[in-house]
Order: sequence, then structure tokens, then C-alpha cells
Amino acid sequence: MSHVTTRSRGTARHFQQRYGYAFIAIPLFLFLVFTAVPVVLALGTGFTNYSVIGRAKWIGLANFRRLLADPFFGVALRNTLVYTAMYVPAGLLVALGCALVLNLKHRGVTVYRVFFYIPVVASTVASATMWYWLLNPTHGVINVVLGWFGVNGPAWLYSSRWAMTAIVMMSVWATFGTNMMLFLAGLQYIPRDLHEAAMIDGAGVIRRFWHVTWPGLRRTTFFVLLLLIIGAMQVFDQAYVLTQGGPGNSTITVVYYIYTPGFGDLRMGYASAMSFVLAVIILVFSVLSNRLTGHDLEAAS
Amino acid sequence: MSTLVTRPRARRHPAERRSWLLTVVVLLIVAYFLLPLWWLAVASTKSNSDLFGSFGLWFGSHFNLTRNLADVFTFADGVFLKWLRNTVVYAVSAAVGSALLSTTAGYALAKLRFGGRNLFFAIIMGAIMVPMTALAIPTYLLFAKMGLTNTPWAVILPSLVSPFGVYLMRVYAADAVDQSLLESARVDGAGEGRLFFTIALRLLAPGFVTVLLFQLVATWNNYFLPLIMLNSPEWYPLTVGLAQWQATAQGGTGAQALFSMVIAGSFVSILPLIIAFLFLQRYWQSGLAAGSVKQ
Repeated sequence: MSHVTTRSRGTARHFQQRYGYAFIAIPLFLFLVFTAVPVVLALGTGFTNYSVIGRAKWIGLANFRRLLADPFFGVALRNTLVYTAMYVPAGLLVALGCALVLNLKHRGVTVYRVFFYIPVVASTVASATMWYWLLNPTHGVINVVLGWFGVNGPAWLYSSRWAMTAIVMMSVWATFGTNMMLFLAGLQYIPRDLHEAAMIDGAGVIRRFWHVTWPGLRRTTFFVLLLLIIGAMQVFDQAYVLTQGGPGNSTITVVYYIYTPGFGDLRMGYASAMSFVLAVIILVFSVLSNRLTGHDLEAAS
Repeated sequence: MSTLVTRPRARRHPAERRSWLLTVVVLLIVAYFLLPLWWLAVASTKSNSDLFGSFGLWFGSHFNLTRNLADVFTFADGVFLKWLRNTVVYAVSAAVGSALLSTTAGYALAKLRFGGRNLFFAIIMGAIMVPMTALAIPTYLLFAKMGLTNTPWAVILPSLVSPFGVYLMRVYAADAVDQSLLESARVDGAGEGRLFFTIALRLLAPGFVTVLLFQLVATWNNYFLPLIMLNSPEWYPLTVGLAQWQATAQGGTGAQALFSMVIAGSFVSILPLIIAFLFLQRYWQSGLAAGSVKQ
């Protein structure tokens, strides 16, 4: 063992290097295969008319040019943005609100936390089979209860005006638990003295929230916002199971539209071009939200 | 409920008014989140005619749970059981693999010095920001080239490592494993392998469980990936199978009789995860906390 104790600093570094590379080798390989390669493949295939059967032919920018003129892609993109515009703020507010309430010391709060988390572990498919019934215009609980108050509920999934709202209602329900947990965790790290000092200075609940809680939650808010936006841009399951894109294409989303020419008509070249564009859009949104919150995720410890 | 907002030193009158308003808001939120679950529990006990004929939030005239469960497990030669088995295999292998790989990679990123560390971290962030759903088509083409579509590998391999898991473990390891402890063990001549397996691994356990649960839930509930990769029903996970039943039931033409079975099937598909979550929730919370707050 004596050689170990006299080992030079350089050798120790060398061992750290070796273990470092050994520890990241497999994840690095998998990330490259399942992220980098698909991005390159999407771009490459996007320049061809590949359709599974037959040979792929290089067609240059034709797919991308077609994409700009494709009214359906426009509709899909608009629907996805509408979904994002409703889902992200609603998801953020509900999660933050619940976290603030559950953060108050109160009996039974732990039980609420557990119950509020259950929707998260339910798959979108299981949730959709549930909400399909809850949203039913005639038998559905939502409209029956609205009826008690004399409100004539909309046809939800059968109405081109309300279908996307209905999907947002279900999605917020299904995903808010994780974000609530993140906010609850964030609230634990805001020093209690800050609140007490503000209280002594006579600050009310609202001012305390704006000057103590909200700034203290900045990092968490950024993280939640990023997860919400990335999730929203890829919405597919709900629209596919609940409405099949209808009624009147009102719930066709980008991923849904990529899926249709890709696996319905096997137009892989065109679908790849769209995949690449979506990947770029998501990346831009992520980077933008990173900049807007003034927080650099990569500048870590 | 009024104790919710009455805090020491709060002025009395506004506090009481707020407490009334807050109680209403809390009740509405509780209804929003709990009633659908209650609905599912109640609906899975209903016969098909009660589904249409009785009020959603209370039991129907027949208690049909056992009959529905029997339907779920015997329909089409018990294909549901196969789906359940597939789901367990996919989710457990993805969860264990992902937790192991995230733990080693996260530890290496946080605690070991080696060239290219920052580049690797940048790749992880990129993988978080350009997620798999957006790249489904090229990923499918890749698997088709390798001849792996319509095999379990097409679902397991892409789920084996989660960028979010590596990110979380990196943050967790930075905090949970004391650097000076490692340094002094190094001075005492402990090799890097022994450091990791005898010291770090134990400290990283809560993070490990968090990633395990996270990936278990994600893979158990994944719909899009198996939907595009698999086309024979014998390889389907529960999500794809249930969605197909639901589509058949929604399609009408006498298939509405399937609805009670779909609902009971959904109920069964959620139960294992609820149980796993209840048992491991303590870890899950502390692990998630690290990932979101400290960075």
C-alpha cells in the first residue's frame, strides 16, 4: 500500500480523469444517439422526399418552402401557441397559489399534498379517459354542476371554440402537482426572518408577497416556466386521445401534425423538416425564457 | 379552515375577511383536483348503463366493480395483462438504468475534475431543451435503420437516460457529498472507485430514489414513443392499449359497451404508481427540492 500514499498529485488527477470519463461514457453516448443524431437526421431527411418505400431524393429546401405555405402547419402552430398561452400562465398560477396555501402550517396539509400529487402519476391516457366523461356536454359532471347554478355549459370537446380550453383544463389538472412541489420546495428556502421583518414594518400580505416571496422564488419560477413551455410546445397525447384534432381542426397541434404525414402518409421527408423546425422553435423559447428571467441555468455552482 | 390564515400578529378584521375568501378558493381548488379522482373511483364500479344514466359523483344502481375488473383482465384473451407486464418491464428497466446512469454521471460532473466536463453539461442542457417528442420522427427512422422498431428496445433504450435526471443528480451530488470528506479520503489513499461506492453512493440515495421514481412515472405513462415505435399489440404498454380501447369505444357502432371496461382499466393502470409514490414520497420530495432551488 505504500505506493498509494506517495502517489503524486498528478496521478490522483489522472485517476479522477479516468473515472470521470468512465462515469459519463454511457450517458454521453446515449445523449448523442438520441438527441444529436436525431437533430442531424431530421435536418438531413428534411432535405429529401424520403417516404420509407423507395429511395430518398435530395430536393433541397422544397420541404421547408412548402412548410411556410402549408395552411395546416399554420393552423397547428397557432393552436399550439394558443394552448401554450393558456396553459403556461394557468399552470403557473395554480401551482404557485396552491403551494402558497399549502405552505401555511395547517393540519391536514400533508394529506392535501399527497392527493394533489396523484394526478401527476396518472398517465395522460388514463386522465383523458376520465376527462372525456367529465366534459361530456349532457352527462358530464361539469355541465351538470354548472346547470345547478343555471349556467348552460358549452359542448366542450364538441365545440371548436371550447375544445382547446377543455384540453387546457385537463392538462393543468394532470401536471400541476410537480410544479406545486417545486414551488413548495422553493418556499422552504426563503428565510423566515425576512417575512417577520416585513411584518414588523407593517407590510401586508400582498406587499410581503411582492417584496419577499416573489423575488425569493425567482429561480424556481424560472425552472417551472421552462418545464411548462417545453411541455406545452410538445402537446400531443391529450389532443390525439380526446379530440383527434377536431372539431374543425381546432385542436391539431404541431406534434400532432408531424405525426400525421409522418406515420399516416409516410411522408418522412416533410415530417422531418417539421420536426427540425419544432426543435428549433422549442430551443428558441427555452433560451428566451432563460434570458427573460435573467437567470443562466448553466452558470451553476 | 379558518386556522389556515389566522397567523400570529396578523390584524384581525382583514384576516377574517381573507379567511372566508381563501376558504372558498381552497375549496374550489380541492374540488378541481380531487373530484376527477373520486369520479374515476366511482365510475369504475359502474355498469355501462349506469355510466350514462346516473350522476357521475355517486354510485349507480349496480355495484359492478368485480365484473368490470373481470372484463378488463379477460377481454381479448387477457391482452391487458400482457400490456401490464410490458409496462412493468419497460418502466422498471428504464427507471433502474436511468437512476444508475444519472447517479454516476451526476457525481462525476459535480465531484471529479476532468477535461470536457462543461461541454458534457452543455450537451445535457441541450437534451433537456430539445426533448424527444419533437424528434420522434428522426428517432423512429434511426431505430428503423437498426431494425429495432416494434421491439421492446425501441421503448427502453431512449428512456434509459434522462437529461433531467443527470441534471438533478449533479445538483444533488454537489450538495450532498462533502468535498473535504472526499479530499481527506483521497489523501488517505482511497481510490476513486472506493470513494464512490463506499462514501458517495450512500449519501446520494435520496437523489437516486427521486430519479428512479421520476423515470418510472415518465416511462410508465409514456404514450407517444411506444405509439410510434410499436405496432403489434403484444408489445404495447398500458397507455397505447388503453387509448386504443378508448378510441374503439368512442367510435360508437355498439362498441360503447367497452366504456366501463376502459374506465376500470384506467383505474387499474394508475394504482401501482400511486402505491409506489406513497411509499417513496419522502425521498421524492427532498430530491426534487434540491434540483429546483439550489442549482
